[in-house]
Amino acid sequence: MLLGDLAGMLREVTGADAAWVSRVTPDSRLDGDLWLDSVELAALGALLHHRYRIDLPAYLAGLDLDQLIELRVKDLLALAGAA
Amino acid sequence: MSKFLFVTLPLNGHAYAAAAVAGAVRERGHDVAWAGSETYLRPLIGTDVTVFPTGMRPYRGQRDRGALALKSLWEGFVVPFARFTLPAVDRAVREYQPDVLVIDQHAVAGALVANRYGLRWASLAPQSMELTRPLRALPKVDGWVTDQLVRLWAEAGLPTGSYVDPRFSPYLVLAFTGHALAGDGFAEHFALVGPALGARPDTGDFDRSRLLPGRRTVLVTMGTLANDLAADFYPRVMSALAPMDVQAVVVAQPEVLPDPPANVLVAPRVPVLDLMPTLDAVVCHGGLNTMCEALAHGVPVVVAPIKHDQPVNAAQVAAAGAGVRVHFGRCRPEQLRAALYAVLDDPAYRAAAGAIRASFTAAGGAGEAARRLAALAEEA
Repeated sequence: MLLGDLAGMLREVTGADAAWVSRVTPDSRLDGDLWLDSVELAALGALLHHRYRIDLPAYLAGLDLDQLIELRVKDLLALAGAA
Repeated sequence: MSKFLFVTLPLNGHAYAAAAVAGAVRERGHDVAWAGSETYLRPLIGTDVTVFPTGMRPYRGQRDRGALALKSLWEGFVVPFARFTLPAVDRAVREYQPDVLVIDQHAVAGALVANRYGLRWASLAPQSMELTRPLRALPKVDGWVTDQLVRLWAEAGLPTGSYVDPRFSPYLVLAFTGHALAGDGFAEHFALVGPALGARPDTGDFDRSRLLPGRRTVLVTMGTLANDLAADFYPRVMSALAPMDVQAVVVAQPEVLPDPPANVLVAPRVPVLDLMPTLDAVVCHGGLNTMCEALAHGVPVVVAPIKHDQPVNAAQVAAAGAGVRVHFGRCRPEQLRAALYAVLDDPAYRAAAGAIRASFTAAGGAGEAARRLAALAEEA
C-alpha cells in the first residue's frame, strides 16, 4: 500500500476534497491533523480489511491514549507492509 | 419527604438536565440541596434552594478536539475537579444528611462521598460517552480512565477491594437520551428518560420580531467555540446560508461574526427552547443536550461533531434518520448547504424527528427521573 492508496481511502471515508487529500503526508496525525472521527476511522478500518486484510480495530485496541494521539499515516503504511 | 443532594459540574450540558430533575423532585414535595459552584448554579436554580459551595474550577480544554480532548477532559478537569471538590462535598453530606445523592457521572467526588458514608446514590448521564461506552473498543484507553478513577477512590480513603465505578451507580443511572438513539440492552437499573427540559437563565433580549413569519428558520448553535475553531467554522456556515431561502439565527458573540449575510441574525444569547417550536432545522455540534432539545420538538438536525460523545450522538441521529452528520473541520459550504436542504426538504427527516419526540414524551423526561429517584429514596 502506497501513500496515494491510503490517501484515496481517506478521501473515500471523509468525502473531503482533492486539496485536503493533497495535504496528507506520512507525518500527518490521524487525530490532530486529519481530524478523523470515530465513524470515519471505523469506515477506514472496513476498507483496510476489505482491500488489504489489515485489522485496524485490533491494532488500535493495542494503543494507549498518547499513542492514539500520535498515530500517523506512516504507522498505517508500516502496518500494511507488515500485513 | 426525602432529602436529595445534587452534585454536578458547572457546565450547561451537565447542569441544565440536573436542574430540571431537581425541580421535578421538589414538585413531588421532596427537599433538594446542591453541592456545586454557587456562582454558576444560582441563576439556574434560583435563590430558594440551599447550595453547599464547592468553588469553581475552569475547564481549560475547550479548544482540544479528538483524542486530545479526551486526555484534557480527564487529566485537566474531571480528576482535579474531583480532588478539589471532595472536602466540600463531604461537608455538604455531613451537614445536609441526604437520603439520596444525585451525581453527574463526571462529578466523581459525589460518588466517592456517597460510598464513604454508605448512602444511596444515583448517576446522571447527560452525555453518551459513559453510556454507550465507545472506549471499550480501545481497552488501553478505557483502562487509562479506570486507573484514574481507582486512584481517586484510594485517595478518598475507600477500600480498594470494594471499588465501584463512580460513573455508574449500582442503584440507578438516569440518562437523558432515549432508546431511539442509544439502542437497547441496558441493565435494569438504567433509565433512559429522554431530555429533561426546564427553565433556562439569561436568555438575553433576543428580538423575535426580527424573524419573518412564514419563512423557514434555521438555528445554528455550536456551544462555546474556541476562537480558532469559530474562525474556521462560522465563515463556512455563512457561505452555506447566504444563498439559501431561509432565515438563520446563529448563537454567537457578534464580534465573532461581524458581517453576516442579510438572512442571518447573530445573537449571543437566544431563548432556544422558546424558539424550538418555530424552527425548521437546527445545526449543532451534537452535544446530547442541544441535540435532544431539537429532537424533543421534532426538529431535524445537521450535526457537526467536535469532540467527546458528539461523534457518537451524530452517528446515532443519522442512523435514526432524523439528521445528517457533517464533518466539523472539513465540510465545505456546499456540503453543509446540501445537508441543510436535505433535512429541510425531505419530510422523512422531520417524520423521524417526530418519532423520536414521541419516544421522548413516552420516556417521561424530568418527571420520570424524579419518580425513579423518589422510589430509590423509599427503598433506602
